[in-house]
Amino acid sequence: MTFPEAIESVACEIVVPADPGGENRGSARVIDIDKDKRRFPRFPCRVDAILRYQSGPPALRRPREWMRIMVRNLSRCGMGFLHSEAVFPGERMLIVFPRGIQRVFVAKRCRRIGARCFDVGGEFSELLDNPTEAGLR
Amino acid sequence: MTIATAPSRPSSRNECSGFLPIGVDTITVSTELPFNLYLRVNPAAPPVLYRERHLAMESSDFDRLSEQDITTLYIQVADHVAYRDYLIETVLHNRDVPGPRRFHVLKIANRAVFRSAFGDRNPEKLVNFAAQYGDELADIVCDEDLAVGELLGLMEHDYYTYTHATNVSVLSVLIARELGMGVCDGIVPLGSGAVIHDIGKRQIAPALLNQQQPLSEEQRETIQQHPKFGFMELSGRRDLLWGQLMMVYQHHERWDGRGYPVGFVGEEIHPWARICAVADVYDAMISSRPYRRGLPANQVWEVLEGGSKQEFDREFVKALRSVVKE
Repeated sequence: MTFPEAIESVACEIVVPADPGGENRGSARVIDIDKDKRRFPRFPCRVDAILRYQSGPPALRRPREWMRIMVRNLSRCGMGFLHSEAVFPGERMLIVFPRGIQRVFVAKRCRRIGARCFDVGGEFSELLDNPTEAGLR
Repeated sequence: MTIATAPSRPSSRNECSGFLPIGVDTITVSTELPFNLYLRVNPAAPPVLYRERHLAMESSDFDRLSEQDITTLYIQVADHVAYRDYLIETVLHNRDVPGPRRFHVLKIANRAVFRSAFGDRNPEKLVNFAAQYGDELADIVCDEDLAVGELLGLMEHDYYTYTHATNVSVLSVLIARELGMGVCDGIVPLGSGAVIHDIGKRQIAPALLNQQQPLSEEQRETIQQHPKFGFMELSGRRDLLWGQLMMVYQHHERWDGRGYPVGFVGEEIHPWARICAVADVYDAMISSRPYRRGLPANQVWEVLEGGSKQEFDREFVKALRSVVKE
């Protein structure tokens, strides 16, 4: 099974808001790369990936199953994605991208944008060499 | 012994370098004092020794002070911990003393400790303080004979950090008690969690928190990060329950999903955080600030009960209303 097939095999439980602006809210909003002042600019990126929770607050119990997410922007040091459930700041999760590139992601923020749609942002524990390639199918 | 009018915060009239003013009525008759007591005879001079450590004050001493209208004595700053321990021993842990008086002493005894803990970079002190405070508060509040109205009458509403933290704790515990929660249901950690609900504000500049001018969008966003800051600071601790962490992280979430930081809805918000939200908003609105008076009760209930829109859990608002009416 290829990585894209593995990702496709995980059910997507995200319900992106139906309103016209929903697709472009939060992490999904259009990024003007020329105005991005981050150390590493974020690129718009629309691919699906999968995550599995690794660790978080001791009092929080998380399932060990893989979950599908929708990546919306990506840089060498972090990304924004849509998820079907809320994550908590500091939670660590393993992300697998379509080309099999894997990174540990640490959540920094989470905001609900729909009933089953949360906009999550955070950083990788290790820089991506080539964010464009990670986002490619 | 009466405690009702003991000064809880030094006024400028009573301030004196190296000394702390204490209410005469916080001293218990015929108990050995673990600190020196001082009396200010001349307002222009430092206090003079009135009663030496290890001695006691007798009824006749109180009568004489009363005749001279003296309600304030002094201890050395270095003795504030001994004074706190003395209050805990003689009043707080004395079940013969009525609940409201014990509550009043709880406030006096803990103010300085809270200030020191809140100012410390390490959250350890504040978490430990909150645990002890919650324990002592629950001991008072869970007494079936507690005169709730009298206790509420002793609460100040000035929105100072200590007052607000402890008011939210008291109100949260009273709401829980009204709903039938007891020690076995977690009323102690609930009270502790409420004390630390705003711990994340320590990471925000005081000038911004106290700004009287309208906030810019960026400033509002900064302030709205305090639940996240607090959660991140505490989330790795094993001595805190999930409910306590959610009080820190979710106390600005709203039932209708219009809160922050996430926008959780209804029962997605932990019940302890929903209780904390009601207590937090009630105290914030009823309290006077340097730039405005506290809101009248009818306006406060209007916001909490919400009319057509529902920001708060109605069951908890109803419980608070019932408590405040007592």
